[in-house]
Amino acid sequence: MKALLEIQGVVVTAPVGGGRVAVLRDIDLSVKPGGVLGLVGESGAGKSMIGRLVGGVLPPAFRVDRGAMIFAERDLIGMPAAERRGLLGREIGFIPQQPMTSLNPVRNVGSLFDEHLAKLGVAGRAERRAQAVAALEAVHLPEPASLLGRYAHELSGGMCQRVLIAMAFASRPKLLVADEPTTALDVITQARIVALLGDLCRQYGTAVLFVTHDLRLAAQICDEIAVMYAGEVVERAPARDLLSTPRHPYSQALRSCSPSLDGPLARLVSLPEHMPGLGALAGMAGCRFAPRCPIADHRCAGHAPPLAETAPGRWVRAAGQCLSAALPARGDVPHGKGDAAGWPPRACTRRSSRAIRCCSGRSAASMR
Amino acid sequence: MSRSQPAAGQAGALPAPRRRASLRPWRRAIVGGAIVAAIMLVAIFAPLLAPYDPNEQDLLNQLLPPVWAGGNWDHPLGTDNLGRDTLSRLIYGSRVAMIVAVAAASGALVLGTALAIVAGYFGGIVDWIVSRLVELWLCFPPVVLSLILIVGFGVGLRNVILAIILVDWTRFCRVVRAEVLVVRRNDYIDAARLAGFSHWRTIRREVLPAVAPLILTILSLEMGIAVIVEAILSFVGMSVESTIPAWGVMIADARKDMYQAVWGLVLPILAIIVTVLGFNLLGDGLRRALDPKLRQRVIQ
Repeated sequence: MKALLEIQGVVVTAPVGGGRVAVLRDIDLSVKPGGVLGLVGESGAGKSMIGRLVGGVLPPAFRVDRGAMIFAERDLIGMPAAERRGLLGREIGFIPQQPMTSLNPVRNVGSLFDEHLAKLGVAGRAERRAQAVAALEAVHLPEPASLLGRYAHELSGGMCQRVLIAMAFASRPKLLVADEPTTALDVITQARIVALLGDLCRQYGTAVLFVTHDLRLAAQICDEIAVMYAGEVVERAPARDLLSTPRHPYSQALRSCSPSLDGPLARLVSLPEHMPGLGALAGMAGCRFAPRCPIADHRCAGHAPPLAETAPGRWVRAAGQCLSAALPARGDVPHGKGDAAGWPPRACTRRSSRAIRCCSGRSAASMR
Repeated sequence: MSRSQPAAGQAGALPAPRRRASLRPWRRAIVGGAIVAAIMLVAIFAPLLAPYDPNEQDLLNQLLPPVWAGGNWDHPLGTDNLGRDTLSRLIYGSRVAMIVAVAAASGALVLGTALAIVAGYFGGIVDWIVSRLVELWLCFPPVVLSLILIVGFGVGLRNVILAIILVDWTRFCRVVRAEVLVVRRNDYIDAARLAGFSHWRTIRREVLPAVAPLILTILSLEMGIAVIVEAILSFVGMSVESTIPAWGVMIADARKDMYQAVWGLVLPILAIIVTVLGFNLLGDGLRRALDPKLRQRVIQ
């Protein structure tokens, strides 16, 4: 099937010091119509930047240097700004990370919804109101009519997110960019919102770009997952395969630091140090993961491996030696102190909360 | 026994909406608004309200005190050194004050806010230029700057208004820019952009409503300031022609005889104080009443 959204070799750069650093490097992604692509990685990996890239609202001074983006057989990058803006809210919907603050606090839900529908070309205030009520009902909000008179601060996070979902789906978009839609919500609400999103997407055949830092949540709802690290896609694979047999060392680290409910009891492992910031990336020639990679050696510093297909549908950005190195599966992590020189780099037992925070955010909580 | 409420869906029951609008948060704005409205009405209907022509001289009744200080009901607030009726001059003087207040404050609002929003919203080089311009402007003492401008433009009501706009636009620009910088960072601005709204639309529908309470507050304060500046300029004879009564002119005229007839000095000063107080109460009251967060606090 022809892809709905095809991102080919996109490079986004930002000014750092005197020069420009690639915030996103050689991004290759595709979303099939009705498909769900998960973008997974820790904070600052560039997941949300891809969402902004698709929307065409990059931060000031960030720009696309290379590559192409094809959406429904139209070139997004070459398109005039006004035409591209016309796609937003109509064919490309967005669900933001912070539902409470994404609704204008000085305008009520009815006014926001009315404006959105007016932009979509729905004529007549009464007609727009009726459609808004229907849309709010479709996302299972109680008393939709009275909700229209309410302001964001009178609603809970989950309700705000439902309102935003209702607005996003009002235009029956072809693609939905969900930027960590459940991060700001509690676990129960998170599960409900995810279920609601799944229902609506199936109902309308909407494709989703699902940005999350929760690998297990992504594996649960996505068809395909792309793992991101420092602005690069390091691994792309069907969701089940990625969770069961991650190939890239970073994917493996990501999986081993999120606890599983039914697996063997094992300690959570976290990677040492932090993801390099923009300043650090500027002077980095080779593999961007090398400084934290447990199996890095002298070859990694000068060589940045390309994203290559190792098996049908499985893409890994790794050199031959990365894949051939034997890595222990998560159940095999020995108890006691980890080997200082080898894998795992640091075992966290008492400080497992830190491991959860640095790798996969809410995954631990969400699974309980 | 109370019946349990039916479950209102999984998201939980909503608190009952607030139906009865309370006037309490509006109290201050109502008082200020009433004062301003009264002065506006006086200015508009001056020919009907004033008992005398403001320039009609009655040289037999010079420097009459007001009625409570031994005057008579022919001239309730007394007369000045040329025997002109103080009440009539105060009433006509409100016209100049109101014209300057409305025109100069609105002009400063438009100029300052437009630059502030462009600077705060787009940032970068535009912001740099506007900010430096404001800083440059603030280097000049405002009274000196307005006097220089008047000397350059020539005297007259229109030039007074222009001078006040050119001096006081920075008051709007500085404060509004800072607020726009804060508002700009809000997620709902990003959300609006991602919903496909243009910059212009985003500014109009998302940024402006957010800074509107602030703009209203400064507008009211600025109106009060414009009244004072106009009084200063007419006091030194740089505003309206001498045939047009203005509060500043009245103070200047009464200055010479202030030891014999203090009321001629006190009354126009009181008029200015009440007017400025009205504008300030209105501005502050509007800010309190329009800000949903402050309003919550007042109600609780």
